[in-house]
Order: sequence, then C-alpha cells, then structure tokens
Amino acid sequence: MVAGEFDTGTLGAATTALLRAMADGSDHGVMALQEQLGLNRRQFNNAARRLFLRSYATIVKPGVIRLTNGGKAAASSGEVIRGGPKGQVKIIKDTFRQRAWTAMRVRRCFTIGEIVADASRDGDGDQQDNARRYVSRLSAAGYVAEMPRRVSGTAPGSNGFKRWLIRQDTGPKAPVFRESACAIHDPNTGEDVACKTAS
Amino acid sequence: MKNTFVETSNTKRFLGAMHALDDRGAIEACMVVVDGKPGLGKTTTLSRWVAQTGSIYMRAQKGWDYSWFIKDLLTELSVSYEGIRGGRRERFARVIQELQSRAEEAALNGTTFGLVIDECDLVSNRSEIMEAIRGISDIQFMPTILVGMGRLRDNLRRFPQIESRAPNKVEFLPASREDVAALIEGRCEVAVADDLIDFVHKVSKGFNREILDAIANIEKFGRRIDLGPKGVTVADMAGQTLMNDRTHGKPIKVPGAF
Repeated sequence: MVAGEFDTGTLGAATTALLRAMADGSDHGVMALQEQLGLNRRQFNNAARRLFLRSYATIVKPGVIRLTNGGKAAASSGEVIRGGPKGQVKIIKDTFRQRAWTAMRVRRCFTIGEIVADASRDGDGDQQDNARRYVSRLSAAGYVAEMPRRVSGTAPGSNGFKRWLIRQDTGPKAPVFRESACAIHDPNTGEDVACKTAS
Repeated sequence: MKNTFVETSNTKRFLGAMHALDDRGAIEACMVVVDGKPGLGKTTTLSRWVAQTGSIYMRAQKGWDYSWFIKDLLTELSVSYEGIRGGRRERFARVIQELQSRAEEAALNGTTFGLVIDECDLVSNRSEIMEAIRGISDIQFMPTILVGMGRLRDNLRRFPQIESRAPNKVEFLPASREDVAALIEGRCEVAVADDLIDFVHKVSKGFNREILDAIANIEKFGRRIDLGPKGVTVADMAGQTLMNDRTHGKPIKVPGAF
C-alpha cells in the first residue's frame, strides 16, 4: 500500500492498512512497514497493538512481526477494522532527560558527569549543558539536593564537581520544566511544583 | 575526566547474557543473575542499561512482603495501587497487562525490555517474593535480572524452580589489565604510560572505584607537568598519592622505582 492512501485520522484505518500490508503471512520488519505505510512510530505501534489485541499478529523477534492464522484469514476476507485502541497505553518518551531521570533514580547519588555517561547516546552531541540545566531546575523544585561535599576536579583551579542526591522520587516519568510557569510539571503526580529560582 | 561509558569485560559479559536470552532454548529460562563484590561496576552497568532500554528498575527492601512488592512494581509502571478495583488477583492482572504492553512496545521498537531487581540478596531467602518474581517472569517470559552480592547465588539454590530459570549467571570480576587500560584510555584526559597502567592494575586489585580514583589523581597530576611522549609514567608520579586502600583507608603512593 502506498503511503497516504488511507486517512490516519479514521479509526482503524492504519490498523486495516497494516493488516493488508502483511497479508502474505511472512515476517515483516517494523521499520520497513512504517516506511511503506507512511506512519510514524506512535501511529504504527498503536496499529500493531490493535492487531495483537485481536490475536491477528505476533512478535517474531524484536523489530519483526508476522500475521497469525487468524490474521491471515482476516486479511484474505477483507476485514475492515473500525475500532480504536482498547485501553490506554502509557508510553514513556525516550528523550535524553527521561534517560537522565531514570539514571538519577537508579544511582540516587550522582554527579552530572555520571548522568551524562548513563543517558547519552551516539549522535546525541554534548549533553553536559542540558543535564546541568535539568538538574538545576530539579534542584530549584526540591527534587534533588546538592550534597555538602564536592568531587574534586582535576583541572588547575577547579572548584570540583557538585554531587547531588535525589530527594523526591515520585515515579518513573521524568519531571518536565515549564518555562512559562517557571515550574516543574510532574507527570507522576500530575502536579506543578514551583521553582524557587530559575536559571 | 571524560563523561563516557567504557565497556569493560564485565559489561560485555552482561550484555552477552542478555543477547543469549534471545536465543534461549527453554522459553521460561529468562532470568539472569548478576552478582559480584561492591565497587566492580554493577551499578554503573545497570544504570546505563536501564536508562538506555527504559526497563523497570526496583531496589528490593528488607521488609518487602508480597503486597509491598506489587505496590512498588505498580508505582514503577505508573499505576495507582489504590486505583485498582478488586483484590490481589486484579492487581496482579494489572501488573501483567502493563508489563505486556511495555514489552510489546519495546519489541516493536526492536529494543530489549526487562525487569531489574537490585539488592536482591535482601529478599532472596523469602519464598513469597521470589515466587512472585518467578510468576511474573513466567507469564511474560520477560528478561528478569536479579542483582546482588555474595548470598544471592547461594540463596537461589533453595528454589530449584527459580535456579533452573536462571542458567545465565554473570559474576562481576575484578578488572583485567585490558579493562584498566580501556578505562584509562576512555576516561582519562591525559595520556598514561604502560608502566603506570600496570601499577594501577596491581594496586587497585581490579576494583573500578579505585581505578577511577587513580584516574582522577593521574589527571590532576598530568595537567600540571610537561608530559613526555608516553604520557604520565611511574617515574613522573613517584611519591604521589594514587588512591586509598579500601581495606585500611591509607593512601597508596607511587613508588620511586617500579
């Protein structure tokens, strides 16, 4: 199916398109299907999950899916899936700050350098400033606290590196800084926490 | 010191064990036991792996009972314990449902998703908790990583049904000479000569924590002198403190001749 032949705004359209694209019953790579159907990752994953819920498709291995016998029968009979997703799926965004928050929760006591090393990926570029700004805002909202002793630096005249301690571990979703409100929005509790000082 | 993650042989063996799960023969053999003495890089490796894969990380608590464990797990899955209507069965079903959707999401993205239970020594003699972990991993066939120190492996022998599901055991061992060289090359911002790498390997006894202390001290020293072509040598650092001995806390100095 050529991208753009269906309206992704119509309930079930992407799911039906995915079902037809896999009608031959062979193994299909997720990336190739996304490209073929012109869907973004979220749209594709929602469509695939609807097929899983109906037992029309199965995961062969990470990144590869295939239709079940039921799915093949549905595809050959021309079934049109009209339903939306069953149940809400919580998707945690895979951003640098999300990975940094996860690393902070695992380590509990950390330096900016340790968090950058844990959360960075190839091609991320230098995330030192990003991490420093994020931790400073979390600190202003009371999520992390600076420890009294620093880790000594190695450069001549260095003041050393701050060591931080996680104070409020409210859950797995990374708190988000809202510049307009000068507050941290915590998706775990749904609350906005005012920052005492904003950098 | 550079903020980079260096893959040591321990990290490679851990990642190898995770890849081995994909090719396992028995589908229920989805547990990995990770153990080793403190300071060998377990937390660093796990922190990086969990952050990169978006897996669930839990730290076991001494007083954990079944309800507390499920409550903590639901919190990690962003589900309110109090918001679930019904009792124990409904809460367990919700855990499974949430884990399944996370595992599907990860599989669609071509990534690995697992459940990490750190400090597992604390609960590894508690059949109620260990059976609950086994139950969850059995239903999902989801990679489950049990992390501990000395007692974990011994305690698991009491549960043959769990022991048989964890054929992959990764013991974090002291760093080899190659690991020390890789850590120094990857993290140190000044060049270091081979003789000093040998000395760091010898006196650190392969503990990452001590190796990183040594790197900080070498770097501090190396930034203040004119380096030779080989980098900082033992002769350059003679008489300087390299690290503290973990057994008695006294500083270990670089000798005059080595």
